[in-house]
Amino acid sequence: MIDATSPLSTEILLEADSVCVHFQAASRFGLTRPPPVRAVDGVSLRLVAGDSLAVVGESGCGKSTLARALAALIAPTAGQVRYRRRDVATSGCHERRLMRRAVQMVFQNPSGALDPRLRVETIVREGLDAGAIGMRAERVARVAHALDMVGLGAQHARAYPGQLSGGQQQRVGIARAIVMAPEVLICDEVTSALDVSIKVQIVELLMSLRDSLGLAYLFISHDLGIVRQIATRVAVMYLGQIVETASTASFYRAPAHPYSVALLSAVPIPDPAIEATRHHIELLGEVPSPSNMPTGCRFRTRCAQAQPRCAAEAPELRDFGPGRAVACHYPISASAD
Amino acid sequence: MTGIDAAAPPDDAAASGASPWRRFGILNALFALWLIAMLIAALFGPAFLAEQAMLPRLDFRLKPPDAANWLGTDAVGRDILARVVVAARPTLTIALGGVAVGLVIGTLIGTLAGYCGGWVNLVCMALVDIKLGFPTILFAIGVIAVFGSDTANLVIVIGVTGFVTYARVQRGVVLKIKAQPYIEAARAVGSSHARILALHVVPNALSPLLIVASIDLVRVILLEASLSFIGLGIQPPTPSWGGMINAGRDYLQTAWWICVGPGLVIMLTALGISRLGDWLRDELDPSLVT
Repeated sequence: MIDATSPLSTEILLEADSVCVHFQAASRFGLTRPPPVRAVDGVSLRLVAGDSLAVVGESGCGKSTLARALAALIAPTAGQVRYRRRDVATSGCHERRLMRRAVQMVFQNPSGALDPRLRVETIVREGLDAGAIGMRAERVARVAHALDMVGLGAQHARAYPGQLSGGQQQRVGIARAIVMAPEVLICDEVTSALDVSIKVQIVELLMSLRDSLGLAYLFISHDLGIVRQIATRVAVMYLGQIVETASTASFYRAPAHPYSVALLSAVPIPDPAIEATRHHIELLGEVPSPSNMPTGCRFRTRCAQAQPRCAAEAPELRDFGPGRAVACHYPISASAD
Repeated sequence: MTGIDAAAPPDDAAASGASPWRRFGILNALFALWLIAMLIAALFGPAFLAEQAMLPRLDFRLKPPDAANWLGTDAVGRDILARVVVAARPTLTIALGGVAVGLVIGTLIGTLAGYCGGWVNLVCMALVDIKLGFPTILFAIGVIAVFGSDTANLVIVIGVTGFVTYARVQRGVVLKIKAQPYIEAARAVGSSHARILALHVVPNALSPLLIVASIDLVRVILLEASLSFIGLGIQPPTPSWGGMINAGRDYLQTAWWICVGPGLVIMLTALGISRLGDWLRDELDPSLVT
């Protein structure tokens, strides 16, 4: 099943192939059928071993839905999610269980993602218990080890989630994921509910875990500062589609899609002198409804450079320079800056 | 990994709260004593007081409370205190049994409806609506007429008529719990639906159920009284609390004590159970220990 001869660095662990997730609202009196909400609309991406891919975008662009589809928590409406080149939806029960173990997820809201009635040790052990992995003593030892790795001690193991701080709760969430010995960790906005100082600690924890456990990350975030720290590649999502992918360095140096440029220009620079002279690109208007998309390019209604062609023809994601792909008819080239 | 947030031990929160017994309080202690007394009455009452409770003594009819008969006597001269004590066993058996049956059926239906959704929800809620559209007393008459009025049948009838409240409450609570992120998190680590139900959904839904059960207990005692009134409940001369109140109804203006004695006993028992249920719920909920 696993091709051992292929080099580790190019081994594709998790892959989305034209994944669509559409939500159909209920019809009124069985007469009118409202258009589906196209939360994720044809997203393809690959995560190779040791990679850290960040998916960035505004609230409501479908990032979290994509994360849940990749974690096999929701089934895609169309397209495939593949783990080690096997379609997750059609693979057998046993294989899917292995995939479930290998792809773990850390959730956005640390307090909500922990059952308030269970002790931390029970919460972290749940996956091992559910999969009947090892003897009980072995599970307990693995839980203790996982808690130790995230910087929690034996006194926290006996605590209830309500007795922990937000940062500690998020550490529990991470321990619950890594105790399964995963290959891929999907982090859905893991820092957005935390204070700034705690945020940094969690990011450092995630990076040290990547190095010690060899994890591949799929990092869902709208915090471009943190993405720059943790990701090796960036994918920008807008209204359910990926509009640009690039390596982190080249993305931050010279974004090519007008939307990427606008996103980056919205990140404040902690230096008033530079900030005052900086030219901000403001997006026009509001995000269109994901159930009623604009024709052609989805971004054109808010794009300052939109041309007649943008309304007529939807741009494909095309290669644009090394390691970069952009879905725009008129990408901004690095030389223009 | 020397996080500031990871350094603080969590046990300071537990230490600041009072001990469970301090939180219990004097009032709850009194109610606990009352319930223990009821339990003793139910266990041993019939063995010692059956004669006083059952035998008519016409020369002692309708005596108000005095030193000899603390709660007075009824229309045929039986001591009301003795009857209240003897009635504890049949009344509590049927009340607790009925509540338990209703709780189990209702919880099962409500949990299935809330968790599964779809057609399961439709079927379960149709059951609830059918029950709501069917008169309780008519149902009781039907079942008891066919199967007879022994304790087991009474328990089943009372339980089945009461499951609706539990099912409705449980469905709502389960719908809310199902949307919690920790349910999705449990799925993400590979937990089966059965495990999620047993480990997360049902334990988190217990508090509202306990409260409904303590309210339901009073309803069940009174329903038994109504059934006794139309001759379907506990058969005379065996006394029951509800039956005694019914018997005293006609004398309310001339001999109030016939109703008041058993009425007070029902009230104190129901109040005690609901207060202790409240306390138990708070003790069992770790999210309130902060």
